[in-house]
Amino acid sequence: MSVVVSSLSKHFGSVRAIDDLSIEFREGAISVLLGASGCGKTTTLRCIAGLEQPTSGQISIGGQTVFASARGIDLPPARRDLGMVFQSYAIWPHMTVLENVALPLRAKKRPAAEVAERARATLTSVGLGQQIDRGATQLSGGQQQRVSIARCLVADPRLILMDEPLSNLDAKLRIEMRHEIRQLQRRLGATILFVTHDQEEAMSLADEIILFDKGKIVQRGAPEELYFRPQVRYVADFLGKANLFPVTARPTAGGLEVVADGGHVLASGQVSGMDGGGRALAMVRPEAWRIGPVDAEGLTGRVEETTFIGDRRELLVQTPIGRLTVMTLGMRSFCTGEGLSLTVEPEYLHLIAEAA
Amino acid sequence: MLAVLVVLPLLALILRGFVAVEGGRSSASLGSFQKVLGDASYWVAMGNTLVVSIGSMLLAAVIGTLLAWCLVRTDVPGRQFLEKAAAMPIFIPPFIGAFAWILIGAPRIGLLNLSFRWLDLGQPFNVYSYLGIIWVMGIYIAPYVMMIVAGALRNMDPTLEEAGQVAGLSRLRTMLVITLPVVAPAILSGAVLAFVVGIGLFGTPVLLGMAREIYLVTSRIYLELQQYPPDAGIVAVLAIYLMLLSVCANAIQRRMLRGRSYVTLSGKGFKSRLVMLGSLRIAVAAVIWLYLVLTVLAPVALITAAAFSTYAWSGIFTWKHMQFLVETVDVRTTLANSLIITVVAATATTVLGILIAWVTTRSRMLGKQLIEDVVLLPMSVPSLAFALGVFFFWLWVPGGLYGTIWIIIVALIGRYASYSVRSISSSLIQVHPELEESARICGLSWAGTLRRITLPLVLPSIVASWVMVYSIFVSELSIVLPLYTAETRTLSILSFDTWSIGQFSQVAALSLLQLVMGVGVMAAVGLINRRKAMVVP
Repeated sequence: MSVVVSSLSKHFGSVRAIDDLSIEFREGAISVLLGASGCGKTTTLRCIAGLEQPTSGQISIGGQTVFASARGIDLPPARRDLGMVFQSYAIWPHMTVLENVALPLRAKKRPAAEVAERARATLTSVGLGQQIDRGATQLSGGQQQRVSIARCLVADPRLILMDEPLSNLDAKLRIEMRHEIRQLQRRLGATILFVTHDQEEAMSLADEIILFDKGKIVQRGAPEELYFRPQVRYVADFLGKANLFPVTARPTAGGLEVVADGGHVLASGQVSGMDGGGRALAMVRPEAWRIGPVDAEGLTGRVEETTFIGDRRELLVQTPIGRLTVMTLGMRSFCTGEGLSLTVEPEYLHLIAEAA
Repeated sequence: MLAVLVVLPLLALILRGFVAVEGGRSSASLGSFQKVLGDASYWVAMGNTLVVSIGSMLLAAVIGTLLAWCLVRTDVPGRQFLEKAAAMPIFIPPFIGAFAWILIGAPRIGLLNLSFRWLDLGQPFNVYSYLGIIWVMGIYIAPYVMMIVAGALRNMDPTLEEAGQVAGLSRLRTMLVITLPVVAPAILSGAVLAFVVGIGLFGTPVLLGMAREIYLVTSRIYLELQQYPPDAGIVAVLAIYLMLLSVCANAIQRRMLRGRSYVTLSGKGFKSRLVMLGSLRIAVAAVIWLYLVLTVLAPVALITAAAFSTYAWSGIFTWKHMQFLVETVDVRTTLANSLIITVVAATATTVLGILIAWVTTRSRMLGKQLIEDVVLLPMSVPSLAFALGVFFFWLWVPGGLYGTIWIIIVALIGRYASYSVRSISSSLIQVHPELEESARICGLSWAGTLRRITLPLVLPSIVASWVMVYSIFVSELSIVLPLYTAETRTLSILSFDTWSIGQFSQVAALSLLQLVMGVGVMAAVGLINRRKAMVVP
């Protein structure tokens, strides 16, 4: 189901929570709205749900305009045909599991037999077939989460909204639920908008990530796109760890030659991010560095600090172009003060054309 | 100490019901029960108490719930002020509220009837009736429901309602299907509290009921006490009936709430959208103001007017009743008694409140749950019944507390300690224990930490709690009634006696004095305290 947002703004007093936002979400895919707290991602979702009234702009779902400030259209949430999963699960404590899940159908005034049958079937599909008649608040956190998902799915909504649904679960369950949500989406072909501040969650779930900052979209794209080819410094900093340093790019026969300030040639070849030469910000992910012996060719450095994380080991290396973060396998040991050299393949080096 | 203040008086009351005294010898007997149960007029009083209390409870539940919803969930103008103001009726003493409503709605002299008669519309209102008693009691106990429901509405996870709307419910149906059931336990708790307060009310039924011979259990107790010598057994049995009612109410509440703990995990602190009333805003605000006018503003204005008029509604200004206040010896001695009792009892109650609140929230003392339960116990015992228990207990205990102001003070502390424990411990809970622990690490002793860190942080609530019990004590009537003697009369007793001999203007003057001493002081301290209030993270 297509969701189109155009020139959407939402002001709380003098704060612009959303600032002239326009976006068309992908149909039949999981779009993750990602960003730090206060960036406008949740407010955007709530505007689409109809729980928040935008200051201005237009929203349409499946071709139907649900909000348009200019034409005075503002459909209540009940008439937008949505499913939504809340961070707190929002399980109604005075109803049983079955009553919770049946309510969206009852609100649509479906015949009682159909209501009971579909609610049961949906509960069974999320693995709660046995808990149907229990009080909703007697369930564990993970089970409440499933009730909330069943309630969201039961009426076949055209659009599913999820507002940080996994952040109250413990780490292991969270990863399990990620898989389930993904499988669910594949099975139903549903359009899901998913809000989170957790970048790992965003990358493992998303078909497309929309990264927000200060009420605006900074960059959108597949997780790999945002991680490896950020268009602005903010994206590189926000997702994972990044080594960023100023460089000059010069066109050569095979592509670009990237020269760090101080004259060291970092790489030469097909470098992503820029076509022509000029000043730029280079980004190298910590895991992209190749470590060689101290006398080998490359950027020479000295290990200042090592942190053992288990599967990985993180090194802080002092080099002529600054202090770099280097990620290596956990079983390789280094000691502080050790000398080494660093090189990077051109395809792992990304340039951000930005006034450095 | 708690046993002496709370438990033993209650036990004494129950025991007294089963004892017969003949020629100075006591023996176990069911005689008092037989006397009460064998007399139809007592049955009528018990029935009346039930009818009136349930009626006023229902009225209070409706008013309180509507008030809470409008004040918490709509954009009615001036909500914050109105919510504070709507709690005020609790602090208008029942005797004074009832007296004011006599001035408003009594058949001949009531202001409303006067104006209707002037318009040739007859005399439609009669406050001396069942409906009149229910109305006056209901509007004054409604704030108990309002405060509890408002708290529940505020704590309710707003996404519960949002989920309902997303699921396809309209705003109205969301309210009926989700909001109302979720706050239903709070409405029930508020209603039960209002019921317990209602069955123990003394001023209202005596003032409004006895003129037309509508007797409630509390007014029967009063009449029995007027007999000489009073039949303590009958009084005790009647008080036990009141306690039974409140025990039943609490049992019903517990039964209905069993297994329904509505504490929910809450998400990020999105405040739920207020309901936009649009053009109704002013109308809703006007209705809330009307409530304030009916319970607080009009009574205060009428009492003031009556206190400065030669007789009710003469409209002729006079200082006569003010002179009465200044010149009468009775006023001076009772005022002195009231002040001593009030200040001593309020201070002692607050100190006790601090200690118990600290023990129950901070220490790991064994049996602290028991302490809390014992302190909160009198909350569900009607005041008059509690005072009778104190009376019987100290009558049996040698030591001569009976007949002194100390017995009144002891009764007030026992009955109201729960109020200050509640308010102080709720603010102690807000002070994170790490604030104290870090002070200990920084080298402060246990006492030093209490003095330099904890007490300053909860000082606003200590002051508020002192003022609250002070303003209740100033005009407390039900507690004092069974305990006073000729030497220990209080201002509230004096106004009651003055009412019995029909001096309405003097009653108005005395009521005004009590209002100024009680609500006036509370409002003044509230203003000062608010400026100093500390925000505790």
